[in-house]
Amino acid sequence: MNKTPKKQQPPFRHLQDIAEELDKCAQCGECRSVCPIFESLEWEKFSARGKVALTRSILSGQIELTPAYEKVVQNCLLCLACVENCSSGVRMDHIILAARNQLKEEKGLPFFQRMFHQLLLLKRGLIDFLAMGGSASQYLLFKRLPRKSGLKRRFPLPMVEKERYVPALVFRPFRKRMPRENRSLESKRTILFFTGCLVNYVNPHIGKALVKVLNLFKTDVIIPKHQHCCGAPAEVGGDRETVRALARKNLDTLFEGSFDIITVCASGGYMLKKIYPDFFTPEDHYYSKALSVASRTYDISEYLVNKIGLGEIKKHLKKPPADRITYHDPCHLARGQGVTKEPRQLLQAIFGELYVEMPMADRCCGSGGTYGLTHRSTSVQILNKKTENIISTGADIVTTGCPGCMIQLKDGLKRHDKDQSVFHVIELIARQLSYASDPKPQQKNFSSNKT
Amino acid sequence: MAFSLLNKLVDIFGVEHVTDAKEDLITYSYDATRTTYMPDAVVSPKTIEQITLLMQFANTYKVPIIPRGAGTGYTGGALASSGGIVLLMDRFNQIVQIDTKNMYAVVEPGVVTAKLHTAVEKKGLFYPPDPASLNVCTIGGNIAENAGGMRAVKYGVTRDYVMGLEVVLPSGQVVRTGSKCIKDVVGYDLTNLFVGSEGTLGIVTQAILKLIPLPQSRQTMTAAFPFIHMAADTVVDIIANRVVPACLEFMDNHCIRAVEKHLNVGLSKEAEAFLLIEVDGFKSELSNAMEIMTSICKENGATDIQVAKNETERLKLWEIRRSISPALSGLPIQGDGEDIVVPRTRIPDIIKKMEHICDQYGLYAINFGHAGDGNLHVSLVEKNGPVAAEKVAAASTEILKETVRLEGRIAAEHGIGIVKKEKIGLNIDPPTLDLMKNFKRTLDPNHILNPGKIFSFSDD
Repeated sequence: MNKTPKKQQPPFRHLQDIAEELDKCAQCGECRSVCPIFESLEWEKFSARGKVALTRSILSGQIELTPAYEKVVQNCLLCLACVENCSSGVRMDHIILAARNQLKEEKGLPFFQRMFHQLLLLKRGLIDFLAMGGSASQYLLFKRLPRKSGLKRRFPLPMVEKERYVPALVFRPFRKRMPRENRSLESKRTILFFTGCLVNYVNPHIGKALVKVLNLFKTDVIIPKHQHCCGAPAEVGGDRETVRALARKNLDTLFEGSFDIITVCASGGYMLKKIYPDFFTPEDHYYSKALSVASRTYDISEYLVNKIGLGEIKKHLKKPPADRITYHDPCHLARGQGVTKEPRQLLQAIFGELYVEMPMADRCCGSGGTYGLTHRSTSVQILNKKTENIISTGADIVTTGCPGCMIQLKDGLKRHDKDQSVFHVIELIARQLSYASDPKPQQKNFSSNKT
Repeated sequence: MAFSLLNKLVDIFGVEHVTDAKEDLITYSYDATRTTYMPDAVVSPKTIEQITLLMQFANTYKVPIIPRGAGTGYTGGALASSGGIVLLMDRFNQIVQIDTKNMYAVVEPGVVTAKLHTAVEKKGLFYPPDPASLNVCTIGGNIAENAGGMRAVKYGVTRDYVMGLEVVLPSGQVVRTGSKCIKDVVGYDLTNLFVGSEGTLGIVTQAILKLIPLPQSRQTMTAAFPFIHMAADTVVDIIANRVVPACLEFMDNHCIRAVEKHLNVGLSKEAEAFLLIEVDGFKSELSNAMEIMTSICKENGATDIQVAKNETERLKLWEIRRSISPALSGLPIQGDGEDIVVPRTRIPDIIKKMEHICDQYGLYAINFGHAGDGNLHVSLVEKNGPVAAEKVAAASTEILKETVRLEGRIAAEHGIGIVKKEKIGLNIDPPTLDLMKNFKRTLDPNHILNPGKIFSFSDD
């Protein structure tokens, strides 16, 4: 499913560069049936077809870069649902990004967004320092949620509703806690772990779980220290310069050696596999680096199923779990990377009949990177539908493959006063394996497994 | 739109549900045809009273009202071809009632067809009309265009499932036609006057739709034929042998080639015809039906027969049919495309004729459609290099004339709209056309409701 990207044309920038993409749209309107935003807001301009019509009007000079146009262009989750369902193959994501890039170049980014993108480019140590400051001071504004890893506000704050679940920053980032090299007992292979920011600063448990699991399967895990933000927040803002700068840094770090690269973050993996190659022309030496990195990058579930093997994993399973499990497809894992089978194969191998498929599992949760911050009420409407689908399964645990979705799902369940816990797939797998240090591993308890 | 007029609309609908911003108008200026017309305003009603008030407004100021569902039409029925106010039916989106015992549903026009399907199928019932755009299109649009679909050969079209309607007339009056009864001879059958009227006679605000029991099971097969008449004979023979398939889909050679190029599943590029046949009903009956169909296909010279043994294989066969639009999307298709229908035995004749006509104009025709009901969707493609638009139009006219000569109709399920209104005379003779126009004049003397659709009034 994951073809190596082989883009030969120079990267798109402005709408003019993707006029061909706009021409492809046959205006059939099929996108209206899958766009979560259109479902919530109803006006045609928010559907992909409406956005195509408006960007066409910009190109033809029928309208200018008006605030109303800008509002429409910014109101997209980039969830790729329309792209996947378009019978004419219109790359709506390319259109939106080109439109945003044009807006950025002609009108500039909003102050806060510009500052945020600048922040991403800072020296690694400085970002760590700022995160530590944030972690130390977050309790001034927020209080801890009982039995959860998150926070809620203490008093009215802009952009944060009363009951909103807010993820807590950890004091020591994951990459500082962990050694660079994490050797397994019997080393068979080595991988590079591209952690992603949310694992580093918010949810280090995911990273620890990955190291623990891969070490068990005789895989050495190297956590390169010079990793940077993958650039996804800047990319969705149309800030191509920032993405390119971040891409260069990450490619330099990940290119060395010919190790496989593992991600646990849907957007991070999507950037490495599909987006970075788009940022360089074939003459640029970073282009070949990007292709090489793209071909070696795997989501953790892909890696476990295809490189370690379900058989090997089953050998290390411990006591049969009693929780009902369901799975939410992150947009950038399912549609972005084409990874839908592997997480399910893993979960079914471990939980058998206890794995329940949720309705519309691949529907966006409304998080969409920064969308949940910039378009709060629509995001919550979309989230409510997702939460209802989760609740309808009766599952005790929701798993997914994206730390960003996890924050959103936790918020959704909290809003519905539900107690289900949310885990990354790798965290759950780590819990169900037996390790050398454990007392007596039990095996072959899972004859009822169907994969 | 003039500020004073817009203010009156705001009074009726509230400021949230009226817009004349260019950025909004642009997104209601198109449908699935390749033409655009800018409306002057867009309104989104929630109540019947609002629609009544809008009609009165339109009669006073002589402004056209253009009702719109999902905007997926192929003939421009929802386009503001003479400006005016687009009337969105999006917020009339409730399934009011599903009566499982009497088997009908009461629905509002903004309900998406697929959502109605899901809702009734959950209760073991079936609403058969399945236009290709069913994930998007709405019941209101289906009624206005009398939409068909793939299951028409066995189950008929939208018209066959509309039992009654609540309609706001252009005068603003609300009328109710039909009933929830299977038998009903009380007065004229006005329901059927409104079904297929393309939004020119009234605004449907509620519909009573007939439901039937959901078939227990279905089975699917495909067959390729070296010559097209073999496929046509197969279709006739299958039905003559008392098997009425739920779907009998057809692709011609050009279509097969396009799909094979796109999908690469080993379809024979030499085959002149490809049939996808699906039967539904009780499991116990289906294997018998499949046997009959397989042997008929063989007798008629089918070269490649595939029978789906399970759901996965069934979906694989359907993938072939479903990939037609993406397969055609990259081709230099010219004109609006045809939606012709002939008595089903005439399909080989019309295809041969079309080939002949297209040859003369430097075009070729890609045909796919519903072999069971004789409905073909025709795309004209440039053979080698550009063909002038007038030539494409001339070829299209000749094709329509040939269709009429073979006792066919120039529009089967996409309506007439603005795209084919100049051609309506090919099928409808002057006295009949006059009668139709008189209906329109009686109901809408000021021509406020979807003017310029279906036919032109010389006294407009």
